[in-house]
Amino acid sequence: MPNIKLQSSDGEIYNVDVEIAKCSVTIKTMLEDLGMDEDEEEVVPLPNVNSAILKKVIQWATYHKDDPPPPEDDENKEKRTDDISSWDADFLKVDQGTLFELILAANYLDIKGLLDVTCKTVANMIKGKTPEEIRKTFNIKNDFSAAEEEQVRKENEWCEEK
Amino acid sequence: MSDKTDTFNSPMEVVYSWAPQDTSTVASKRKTKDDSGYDSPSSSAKSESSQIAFSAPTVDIFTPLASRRESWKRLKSYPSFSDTDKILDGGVGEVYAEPLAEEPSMYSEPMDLDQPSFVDLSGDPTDVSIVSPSQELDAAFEIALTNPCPSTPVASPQPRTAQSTVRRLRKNPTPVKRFPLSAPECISSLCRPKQRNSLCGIPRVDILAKVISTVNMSDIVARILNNLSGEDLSNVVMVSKTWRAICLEDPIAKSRWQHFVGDRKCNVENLPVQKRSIEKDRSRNSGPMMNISNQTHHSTPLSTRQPTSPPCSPCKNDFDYIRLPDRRLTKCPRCGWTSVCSPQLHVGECLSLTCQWKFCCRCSCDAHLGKDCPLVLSSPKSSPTKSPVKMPNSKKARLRYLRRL
Repeated sequence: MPNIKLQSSDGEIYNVDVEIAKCSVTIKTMLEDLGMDEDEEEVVPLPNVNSAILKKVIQWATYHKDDPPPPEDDENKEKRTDDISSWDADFLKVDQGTLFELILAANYLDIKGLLDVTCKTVANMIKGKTPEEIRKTFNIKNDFSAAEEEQVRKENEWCEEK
Repeated sequence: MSDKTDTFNSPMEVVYSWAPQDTSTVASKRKTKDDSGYDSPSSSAKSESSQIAFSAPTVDIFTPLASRRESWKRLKSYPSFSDTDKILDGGVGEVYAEPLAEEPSMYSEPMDLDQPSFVDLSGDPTDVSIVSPSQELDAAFEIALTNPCPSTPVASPQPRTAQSTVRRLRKNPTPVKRFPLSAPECISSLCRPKQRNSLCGIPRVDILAKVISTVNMSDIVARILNNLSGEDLSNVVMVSKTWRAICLEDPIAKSRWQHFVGDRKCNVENLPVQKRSIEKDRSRNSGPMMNISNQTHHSTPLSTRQPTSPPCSPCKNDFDYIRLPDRRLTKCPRCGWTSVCSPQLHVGECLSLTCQWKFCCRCSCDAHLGKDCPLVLSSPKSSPTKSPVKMPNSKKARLRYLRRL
């Protein structure tokens, strides 16, 4: 199997199977456009991905290398978020910083599957929570003034007391 | 100008001898044109031939690097990089000529090629001293690219220049190679990933706000928000100003949120009891129902109230009473009025208000409450269909009615 070298932003080089690296549409397009020789010892620098994240991405891609391409998504439809495989769920049991970096890396490398599953994980963190719980989850400061909050609540009122 | 080209020829000879076949023919064209060698990009844009002549050695020098450099650039400025497509699609010779001709303004120092320092630099191939700060950074950029392994020292390219002239040439005339990005842009984009501290290990991160503030990727936000229901969106909007702005900036999420809020306002049930309306009611009708808060429900406008089933006539109620599956219509043996008979108990009841007689369906006598009918006891084989009571809905009855007509 031909390999390709991926270099993270902090200089670590990972030797990855080309087929696995091609999970990333960015790398795939690059390889196709440049027509790199299989035996060429090319190092692809990935300046936006650090080694910890790159390692995780490679781990994900290795597990999902045989996956069929994800279906085209319908923008207007609300999607399911409970269809995350158990492996992915375990894989994404990370701190929110890592999750955020994974989202950025997936977006940058254009790995749709990983981007989907990470975004779903974030959505699951938001789902079914009250605004206060969401603030606690993501450590957000409530920067509404009292009057603004009142107005926002009026806008959104459900069965709450006025 | 002639001495420039003279000094220039020596490194170029190496380039020509080293360059691939196809581009060296283009480059040899330049040889004949002595004057069009190294000009500023603005002057090189003047004539087509000089463009090619200018670009040919540029690319020759960097062909081994070009793929790496392009891939670097492509990856680096991935979302908004349109020029790479040209570069990658077009022939190698036209790579840098085209953006040069089209957008000379993109080059931050178009004149430095004519500066004597540069001429000196290219004239003396052994001199690798860095001339201008931008060149210095560009050179550092180049070194970072050529030495991707972090273990190799990045300090000076001097040992490499000793290895071969070609390698030295790769680094030397860095300002010759022009990228669509200007030098400051290059530097900033080069440094950006290193400046941004990785958030790995931080337990709680405001992901939505970070996505917007660090990379401004609205499509990631849209992806996340698309997974949320309208109710979740309404909660997201209430989290903070930033989240509200993020959510409302996304057109799909905004419309879904608006739909949700609109629907909810229409479908409100059990409106909260308002003190004012209670007071109003109290003043209007003080009665035993006064304290029942549900009474205020009637004070809500009709349009907001849940629609009730349409009113029924008493006939319809009777009909529904009779139509029940365990009942059947018979004729009252006493008054001939419609009566209802339940087949299980064989007890009929006349529906006439004056009669209201309860009778046994079999023997047409008084209902034997709790006891068996003597008719059944005496002749258990007699079928109930042969009972004297005639069904108004039976076939015979219908035939009789037809005959009458």
